[in-house]
Amino acid sequence: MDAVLPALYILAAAGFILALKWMSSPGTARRGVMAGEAGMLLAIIGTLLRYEVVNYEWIVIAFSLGSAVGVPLAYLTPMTAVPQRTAFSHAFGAIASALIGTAEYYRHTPQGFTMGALMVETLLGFLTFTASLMAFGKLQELLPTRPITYRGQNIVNLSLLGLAVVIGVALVISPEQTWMFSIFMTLSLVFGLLLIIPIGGADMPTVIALLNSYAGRVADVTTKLHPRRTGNRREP
Amino acid sequence: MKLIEFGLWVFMLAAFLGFELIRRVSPLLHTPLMSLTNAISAISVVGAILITGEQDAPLLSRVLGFIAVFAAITNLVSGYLITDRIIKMFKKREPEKK
Repeated sequence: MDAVLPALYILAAAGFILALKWMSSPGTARRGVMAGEAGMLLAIIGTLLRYEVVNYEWIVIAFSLGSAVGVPLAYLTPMTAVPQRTAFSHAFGAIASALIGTAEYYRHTPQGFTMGALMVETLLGFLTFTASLMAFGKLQELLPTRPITYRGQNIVNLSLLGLAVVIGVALVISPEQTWMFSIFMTLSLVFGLLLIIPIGGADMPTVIALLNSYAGRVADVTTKLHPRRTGNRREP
Repeated sequence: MKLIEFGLWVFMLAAFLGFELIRRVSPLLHTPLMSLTNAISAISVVGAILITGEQDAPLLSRVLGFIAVFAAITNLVSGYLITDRIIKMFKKREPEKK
């Protein structure tokens, strides 16, 4: 079994690559979606079968709830509202990554390089969450779509981010300081919010594309973290 | 080879691969491409499952993991389904083109 599971992950990655490749032209785009779906299915099966996953109840409930929200979201969204939906769904993806990082921090308090990766993941996850929600609000016109600017905005934003980075570095140096982690989370959330305020509604699609790449980075870190952690434990 | 070094190799190759893959996507397909990449970013569900399903996970990580699985699955399901919906629309609109 232990030999089969890595193979599932490799096949999943190949599925994602093919998905993007086939998405390049309208003729093969449908096949691309299927390759992506197959890849995701393999990755999920491969994870569910891992020996350290023993408690399935919560997972099954979360799967059902997620599908119960996701299916209507996909079918009831009018085609004109597709960009908003992407932004909204993006917020979900981002909060997932951020929470994984948070859970991992409180559970294992990693050290060194892993802790650094975890901080990057959490920072990007939380800021992408609020930024995506803001982008959704602006596209859906729930929020004023015109750019909102004020004096010293850049300085405020940059110092917020700077502070978050400083705290992040401090946490990498001494990960036991849990109180700093809450401040770090808050700063990341607020920074994501403020980041989108000065951007007009018309520029939102570009912003979403950028946020998308953040979440991609996050997913990359996340999945790198876990197999390694568990792998180390298995082979003494 | 050290694990970090290996990881950086993968990272570098993946960066180029990703760029090459989407470089020639026709502008017509930018919207479905965005929702497809959005759906693929839900791969973080893997990490979420590992956290939620652990044998002796404390309640905090179980709850955080639960929310993470829920959020990632929402993202995943709606991302793939809507991409499929968009692509189907292309087919209906221009069947004679091919």
